[in-house]
Amino acid sequence: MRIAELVSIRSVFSRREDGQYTDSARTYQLILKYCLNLKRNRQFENGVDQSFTLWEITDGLTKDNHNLSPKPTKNRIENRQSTIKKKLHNLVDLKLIRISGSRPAKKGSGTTLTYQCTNFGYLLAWLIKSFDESNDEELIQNEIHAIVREIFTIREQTSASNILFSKFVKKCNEIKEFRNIILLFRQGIFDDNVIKISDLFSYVWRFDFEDLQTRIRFNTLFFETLSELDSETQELILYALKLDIERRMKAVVDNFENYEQARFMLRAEYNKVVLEGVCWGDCDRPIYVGIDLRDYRKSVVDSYSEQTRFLSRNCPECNKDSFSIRII
Amino acid sequence: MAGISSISDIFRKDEDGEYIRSNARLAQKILSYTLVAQKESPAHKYDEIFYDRDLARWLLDNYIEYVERYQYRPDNRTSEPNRIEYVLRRIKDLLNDLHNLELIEFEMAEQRRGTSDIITVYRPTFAGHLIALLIEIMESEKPQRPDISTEIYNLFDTYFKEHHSSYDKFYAALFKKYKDKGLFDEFGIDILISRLNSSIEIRAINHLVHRLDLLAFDSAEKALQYADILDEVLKELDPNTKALLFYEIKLLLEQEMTTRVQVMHKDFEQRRFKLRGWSDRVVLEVRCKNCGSFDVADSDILYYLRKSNLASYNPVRESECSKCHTKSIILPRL
Repeated sequence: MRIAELVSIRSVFSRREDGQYTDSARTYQLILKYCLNLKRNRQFENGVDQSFTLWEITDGLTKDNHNLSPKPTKNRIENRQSTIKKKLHNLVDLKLIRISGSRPAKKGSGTTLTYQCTNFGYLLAWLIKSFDESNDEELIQNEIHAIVREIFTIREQTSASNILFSKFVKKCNEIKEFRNIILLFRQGIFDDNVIKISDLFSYVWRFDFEDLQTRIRFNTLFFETLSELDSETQELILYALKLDIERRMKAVVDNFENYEQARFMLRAEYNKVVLEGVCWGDCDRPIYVGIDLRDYRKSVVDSYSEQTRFLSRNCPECNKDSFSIRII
Repeated sequence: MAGISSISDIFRKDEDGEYIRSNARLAQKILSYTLVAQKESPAHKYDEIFYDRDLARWLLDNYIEYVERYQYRPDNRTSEPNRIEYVLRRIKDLLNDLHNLELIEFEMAEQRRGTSDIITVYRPTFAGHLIALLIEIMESEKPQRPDISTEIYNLFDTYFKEHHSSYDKFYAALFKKYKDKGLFDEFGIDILISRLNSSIEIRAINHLVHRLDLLAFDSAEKALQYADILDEVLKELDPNTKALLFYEIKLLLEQEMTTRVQVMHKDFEQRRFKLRGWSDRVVLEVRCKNCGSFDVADSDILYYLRKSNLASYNPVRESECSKCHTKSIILPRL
């Protein structure tokens, strides 16, 4: 059986053992950069169409090497078309590129598919550019901010989390903290758990800054923004957070049998998250607790460091200061 | 790291049929060796300890890359101890990867006799042994299979006696049903193997075993039989296990749905919140194939599993669209 390559956001940034990007990652990056250049060139020409065909992008990507390998255009493009097509389809799966329609073929009576980069694709393209040595930091920051603002424009069917993100990003920009959001995006693309683009945004929400003060500042801003939303939106956000934390907890619990029972009992409590902790005192066993989400998030942000990966509390059963909960 | 970061990495091939990870085949052979160690031990226990040097010695005779390397001059003049030294680093790295995947355990180190050297000893875990047996089946001819199937069934049986999550209880009942009906090979083992050979990302053994999704069957009849057994077992579970299992399935399906919602983000979130306490109902974004409109619906989990599993074999009656009132609603296949 032939199996397709499994792609994730990390595929775009995967490196070989010598630290260089893999050929595959390089091709993904070139495709996304091509889209960015196409958008800018067409904007200069006052055009709005940012779509391209497989032939056009293969031509664009292989032109630079043309002088080194003086093959006729047709051969040059046909040789690389199959690889570029596979990569394009993988990027479509990752929602970084979309199939935008079709155009009449230049030769014959058929049609050919057209592709277009999505806002997520442009976001990644700018993140790729941010790793270039000669990057213009301010330009990149402005461009990423514009894209993020567009992605999170509030519409009738916008989800509660996106409403929060939209308002949060606006606040960050006003107080000149948006560069820290970019920092999180740059960290997130190398995280093992970031498979889809939605995982990248979930990663950003965790505010996993190395610097404790930055983490506290962002978490304060998070709760400030949350409290400004209507109560229904707040409930939906807390419930989404509960699901996210419990999903990650599930992956690390020692006793899933007991954890699933506790999680089931508190399934309707949208503002409580169920966690597995261990009492190292008299109880000497795992104990399952439902903790207020806001308290949990605040404790995690305040106490997390490379050395501290556990929260300490009084044991809910023996009441001694011997209860620790793994931070996830 | 030796490049094996998930169970899928041990089996995944590219479009040309070549293993994506250069160490994939070696990892398979290491797991196969655990069966050799088991057969050689008097107790025949699956978690028999083994030593890296014994493993290296065996691989030099049984792993094609090493066999070929030392077949011709000048390498065929290398002494066996030196051959072992040359290949040991890579093997140890790979054992580390397999340890990270919880397929191999490191045991308490022993001191080498007469020296101060510390020797690490290894043993396969339940998951490692299961994968090793599945590899043996993949490589063997059909007539050899029954013995191995019985061993796999017994392995699961022992495992399920010690693990009691809702999924474990469900799978214990499902595998028993397969066995009673003489279908353990076809539905138990073949499905596990097809998952290993698919593009599904399998990071841990739970991702391999704990799934309810139906993979391609070669006939509608077989698919229907599989779906019927699934139904039967789910209905026979005790009420608490059933509630826990359905809640787990609900969470998995709704999590997948969250990433696939195309239009009705707000309505989906609101309905999911409203039905958070209903463990047997799953919230979905559905589409009308007649008018193209999107809507949010909730479905009984048992009904959804059956309908989505059988959709490609057996056209089922569609639900009515609230906008165009034709029976054209399509459920997403998550």
